[in-house]
Amino acid sequence: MSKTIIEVKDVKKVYNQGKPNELVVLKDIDMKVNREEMIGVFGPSGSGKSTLLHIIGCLDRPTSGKVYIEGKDVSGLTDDELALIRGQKIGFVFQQFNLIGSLTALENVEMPMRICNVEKRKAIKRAKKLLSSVGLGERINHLPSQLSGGEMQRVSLARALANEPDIILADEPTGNLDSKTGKEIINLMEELNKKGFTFVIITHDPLIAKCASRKLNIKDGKIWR
Amino acid sequence: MLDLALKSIMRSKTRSFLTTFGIVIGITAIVALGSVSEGLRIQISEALEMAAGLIYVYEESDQPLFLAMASSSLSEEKIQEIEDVGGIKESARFVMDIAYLDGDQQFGQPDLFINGVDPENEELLVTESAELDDGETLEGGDAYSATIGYSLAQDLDIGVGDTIELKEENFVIVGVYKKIGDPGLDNGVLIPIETALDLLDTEEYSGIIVYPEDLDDVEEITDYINENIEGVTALSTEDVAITISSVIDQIQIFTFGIAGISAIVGGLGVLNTMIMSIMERKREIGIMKAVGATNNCILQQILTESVIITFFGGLAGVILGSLGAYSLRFISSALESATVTPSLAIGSLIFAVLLGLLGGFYPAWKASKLDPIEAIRYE
Ligand SMILES: Nc1ncnc2c1ncn2[C@@H]1O[C@H](COP(=O)(O)OP(=O)(O)OP(=O)(O)O)[C@@H](O)[C@H]1O
Ligand SMILES: [Mg+2]
Repeated sequence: MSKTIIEVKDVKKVYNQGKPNELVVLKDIDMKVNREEMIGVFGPSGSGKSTLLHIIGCLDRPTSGKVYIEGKDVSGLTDDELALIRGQKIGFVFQQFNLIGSLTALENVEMPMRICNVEKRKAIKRAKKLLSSVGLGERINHLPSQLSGGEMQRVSLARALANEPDIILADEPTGNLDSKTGKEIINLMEELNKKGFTFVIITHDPLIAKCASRKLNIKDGKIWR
Repeated sequence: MLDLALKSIMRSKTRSFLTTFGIVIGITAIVALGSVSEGLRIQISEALEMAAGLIYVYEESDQPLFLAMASSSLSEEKIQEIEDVGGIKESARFVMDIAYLDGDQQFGQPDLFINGVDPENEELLVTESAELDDGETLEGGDAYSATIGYSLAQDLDIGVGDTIELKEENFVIVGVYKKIGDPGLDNGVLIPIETALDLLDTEEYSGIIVYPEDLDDVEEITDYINENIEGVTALSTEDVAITISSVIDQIQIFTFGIAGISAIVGGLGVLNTMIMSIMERKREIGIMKAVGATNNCILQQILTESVIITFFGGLAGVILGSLGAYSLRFISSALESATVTPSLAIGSLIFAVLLGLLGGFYPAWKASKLDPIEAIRYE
């Protein structure tokens, strides 16, 4: 198995190309992520961090350049093929949690598995296990609105782990949390990283900077080391 | 993911209920109205089965079948010409007219039919398989005796031994028939033909019914009469069946057209509801896509929701429509035969599901094309 799990080559992202409001967000981005790394991505607001994360996570397509996930070029894939990669290889954690408000914690964690055709009984069993592993074993039937921010972020971590992905992409996971609950989430992520999950974390949080195995800075659409 | 679909439906109960209700109304209309023409079809096919092998001969006319039969008149010479055709075992000339009872018109069933027939051949007119409920045929009675159909007996509450007044003459009822299926007989009075000619003040006959010696010759004799005897039309039971079924087809197209429109309006309700529903759930759909849902998966999810709505709406519609069909008989005895056949019930349910698929398709397709980034980027 190759050491490199994500490779980004000459990636460019231009919004509204050819129009007067054209915006070049990313220019010639090159980066490699190795297995079991925990990478912190830093940069000023509007520098294109989220855009890069979405491109790595197969949610968005680059204007030009290539992205390889586990050695596989994903640029030519169809929407549905990208969806399958998202479902099976990648887990997302967002600043705004992005849980489904009408579903309980358990159902939110179950959902990615049901989408990938995991049998309902198995999915529930695994969702319960994941929720107790992030310390929410008691709160599985709560709706997101009945949970605190830290608890919601634990649910989204559990959801990210649902289909046993190789890569977890987090966009300011502690951005909406106070420093104490932020610390708890960081600890959880460190633990998971030790268990072998690869992390790419966008953040402004100095605590994450401390525990990241490597830091990348984005500015003016380029990566500065 | 049926459970997820049900959950979404239950989230906005009032809206889902109203949408379902729109489908219920449409399907109820289809089932209730459809039951009338289905009933008619069954009733007439039973009646024609009883009359199999008979040939009806009446005056040639440009008018449609029933009007032509009702207004037909044949002279004694024509009747004899027909009676002389080879291969005929028996025949019964008859006169037919309508009468009102004391000008008292009942809704849906204003007429009483007077049928004059040779007492010796009464069974040819009422068909061999018609059975008497009470009493005997005209054969045993005198010139002013009558046999009557079951509806008439019920409606007027009369039976054997009672008298019935027709055109100011009193007739004694000697027999009452069980249900035959032909409205002209079930609501009719049979009297001896000589008396009928006097009563109606005519020397012409309405027509003649012919029964062949060999059933295999029915078409041949029918064709022979049509080709060789001028001014008359001969129709076998089979020909009548074809004509009647095309009339029922037209009734059916008309009723299903009207009911179908209300069902389609229900389908538009589904379209509207599903469009609103996906607008509200843009974020949720985006999140599902972000965590791995394919376009197809979203499409199926939304279609499942709309089909659940129309399936249960359809089911309720079939039940209500059946109750409606049953209660029609209390409105008019003409609607008594209304029947919800299995094919009508299943067809209506399939139509409801189809409406769900059609009404849900556009919203489902829109939802499947949603860009997940838009959904997750902003709160
Ligand atoms: N769909 C879009 N159309 C046009 N411009 C866009 C679009 N999406 C993002 N942008 C612009 O691209 C730039 C980079 O956005 P991005 O969200 O990647 O920044 P970021 O580094 O994540 O910022 P923050 O730290 O504030 O989250 C911004 O200027 C944003 O306005
Ligand atoms: Mg961002």
